[in-house]
Amino acid sequence: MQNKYIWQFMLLLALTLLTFGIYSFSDKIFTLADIFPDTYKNISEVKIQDDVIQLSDSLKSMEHRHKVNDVFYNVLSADIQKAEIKEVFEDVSVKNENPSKKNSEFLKDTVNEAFRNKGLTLSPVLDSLMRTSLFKKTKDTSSQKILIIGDSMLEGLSLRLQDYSEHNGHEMQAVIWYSSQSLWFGKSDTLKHFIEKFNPTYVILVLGANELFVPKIIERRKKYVEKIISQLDSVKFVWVGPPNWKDDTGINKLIVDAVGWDRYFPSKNLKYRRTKDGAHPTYESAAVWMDSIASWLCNYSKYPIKMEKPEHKRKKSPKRIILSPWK
Amino acid sequence: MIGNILTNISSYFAFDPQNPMIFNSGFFMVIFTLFLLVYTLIYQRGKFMTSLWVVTFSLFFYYKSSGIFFLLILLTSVSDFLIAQQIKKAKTKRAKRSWLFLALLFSFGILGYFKYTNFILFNISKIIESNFAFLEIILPVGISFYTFQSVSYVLDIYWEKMKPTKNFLDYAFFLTFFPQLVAGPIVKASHFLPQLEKIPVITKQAVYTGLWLIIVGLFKKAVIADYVAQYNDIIFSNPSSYNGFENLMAVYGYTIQIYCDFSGYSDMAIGLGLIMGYNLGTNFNFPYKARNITDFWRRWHISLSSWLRDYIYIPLGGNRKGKIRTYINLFLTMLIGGLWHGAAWRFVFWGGMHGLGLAIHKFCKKWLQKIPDNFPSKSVSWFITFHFVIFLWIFFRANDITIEVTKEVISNGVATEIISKANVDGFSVAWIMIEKIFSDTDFSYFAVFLQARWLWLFLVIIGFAMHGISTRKNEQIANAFVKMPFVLKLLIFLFVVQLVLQLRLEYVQPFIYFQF
Repeated sequence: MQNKYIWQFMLLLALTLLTFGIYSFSDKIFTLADIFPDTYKNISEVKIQDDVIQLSDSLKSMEHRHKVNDVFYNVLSADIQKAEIKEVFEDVSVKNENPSKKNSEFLKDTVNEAFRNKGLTLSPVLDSLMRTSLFKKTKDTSSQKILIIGDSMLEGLSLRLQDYSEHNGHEMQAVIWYSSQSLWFGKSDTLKHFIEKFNPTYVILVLGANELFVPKIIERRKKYVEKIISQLDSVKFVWVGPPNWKDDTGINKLIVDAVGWDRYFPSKNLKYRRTKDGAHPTYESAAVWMDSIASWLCNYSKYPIKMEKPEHKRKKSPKRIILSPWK
Repeated sequence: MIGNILTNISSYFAFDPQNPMIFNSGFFMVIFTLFLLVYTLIYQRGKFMTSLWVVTFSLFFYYKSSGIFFLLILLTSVSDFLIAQQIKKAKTKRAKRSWLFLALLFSFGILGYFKYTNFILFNISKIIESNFAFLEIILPVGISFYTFQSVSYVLDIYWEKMKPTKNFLDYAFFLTFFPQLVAGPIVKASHFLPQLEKIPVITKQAVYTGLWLIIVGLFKKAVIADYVAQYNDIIFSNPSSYNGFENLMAVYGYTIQIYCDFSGYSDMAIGLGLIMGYNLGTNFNFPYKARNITDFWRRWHISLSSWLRDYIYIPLGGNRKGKIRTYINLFLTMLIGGLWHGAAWRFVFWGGMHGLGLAIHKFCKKWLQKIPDNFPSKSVSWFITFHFVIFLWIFFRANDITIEVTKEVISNGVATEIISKANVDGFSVAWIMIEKIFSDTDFSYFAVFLQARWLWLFLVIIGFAMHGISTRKNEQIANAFVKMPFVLKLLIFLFVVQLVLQLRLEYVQPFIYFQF
């Protein structure tokens, strides 16, 4: 047979595929991206956070939270964030009881389907989901005096927050310190000054975008982040992480380690349309970003407040104080 | 559940711009096996069916890499095929030339539009100091490669070096043949089309040499290049933050990365061709062994340099029009070669400098030949050539970046770091690196570097050490592999695949030459 060797070669290929195919069941070869490509599909400007809420609502209706968590852990164990997930699980100190196999299969399918139906990217959703509590908290429905303070990212966010404030009966004040960083806030008493001046009941800090690429950031900025937190001690606050356009050198980790998952909003998991500078989200995109922050704020943050979504975008300028870069 | 599986499977076959199909993916391995199964069953039974199957699969392959643009390559195939017939038929020189002009206009027009429009707009806007909005043009994968193949065909017909093929499927087979489609080798029509005239004979030697090349290619591309790239990318994206030694390492690292990436992919392409019974030629021959720049270009991307020689250098007059013209021709040829690699001035510079190097080498040749051919002279000439090449790689790799500029300012007794962002163009990045290397290199840092990046260093050394193997030894190893028992071959293949998987990045590095 003339083509004996080509058959032989195919046998070799087939054996290789078989070897690694079997092996893949241990999640070592094919990552989840290979097995569930559509769950990993890139999404355009989907409001991940909203979807996460729906998803965790559906999870909530299932009893036995620890089983859900266990399944999550098993299903997603091949994900790169294994260590982080584990950390979170330890955080919520979920007792790991072995769920019955049937049950876990059922949940696995349900979870996968939920992801698939929404065409979501697994990792960001997972991220958001894990970094928030699976359960809604009791909401403080009283009206708030909100101070939103931080870097230039606030330009777009504060416009939309103004809509939210009007709609929900809150009062708001924005302070934009252009080019600011944790370093500046940590070194100065700017934050304290404005807290004393406006006496807010709720502070939203938007900071980190100007230090995405600072090398050795943890050791260099940790103390400043801590100083910021000490200035915020007296009020309820959340920290909105930077909307990364590239991987950072650790600013997001630094923030989350300092404030905890429930006071940190992982903006880096969202997708944005950016302005020409490639960094700032467009106004439209920033509005979607604010929507996501709002739904997280009112349901999953440490201090949930009333944040119903306003119908219209008014683009009415909020009260703003602009600080020029520190020179 | 079954529905989900079907959806998953079908999604594999759709175009996904994020994941162009590359040889070192599990998916390719699966569908190549399926492809080969059918191919083996039909290739001896008739040319028509075989060609149809190969062309269909190639178009699917291209569709997976570039989506709807597979129609573009089909269009080029049709136009080349028809125009070539007309060139042959044309009675007068003038008519022939008109048809040729049309063919070239068509091929280069498409390439020009997709690849160079924004570059031209950018330069015009610089000159007239205006601000054009750039067009959103997606570069179809491999267009630079297949355009050159298409041009080689019509020019060979025009120069009557070969006859136009009568069979459209043969031509489409040649232009779209999937192993070389997206990243070469740039196979000439005169080399490939004759192979299609008869049923390929697939010998043991061919199949297992092919497999050996795939294994070597996989190792170079997916083990060495992809891993080494990680460190290089970090340095090249912000050279000023790293010391001279780290910059120097990144330059050596990139030198091995581009070689392993490109030649590894070529090896896989050639190997796949061999398994199917087709010879795609050679593309690399241990380029970093070269002891002069002319020799380097005989060893690096051979299919491109011979294309440039046959279709640009020689038509320009080659060395037939006196010394000065020879130098100018060399320079121009390489300038065009540079521009082929990418639409940016740094590629033009890179090509131009290589052209200059070639011209200078030619100019000095009569003196150089007088130098005795002994170990010290060989070492010195190797050292100069090698460092000339890697010096220019810096410009080749350094793309525009955004960096942070940190400045410490003291005001009211408080020291503050001010960080602002700045755009740095590729040329400046290259100069920053060069400056760093010459002013800030402390070799005692090596110990620290070795500790932190031993695996990286190890792989780079392996990449260079491969050059220590002689061409003859290389053939011997390949032959020894062919003769090995089946099980041993299988084990070696499994081992390399396992290695690839172990070193695999979270996101596979797209192949460097895809973008050209």
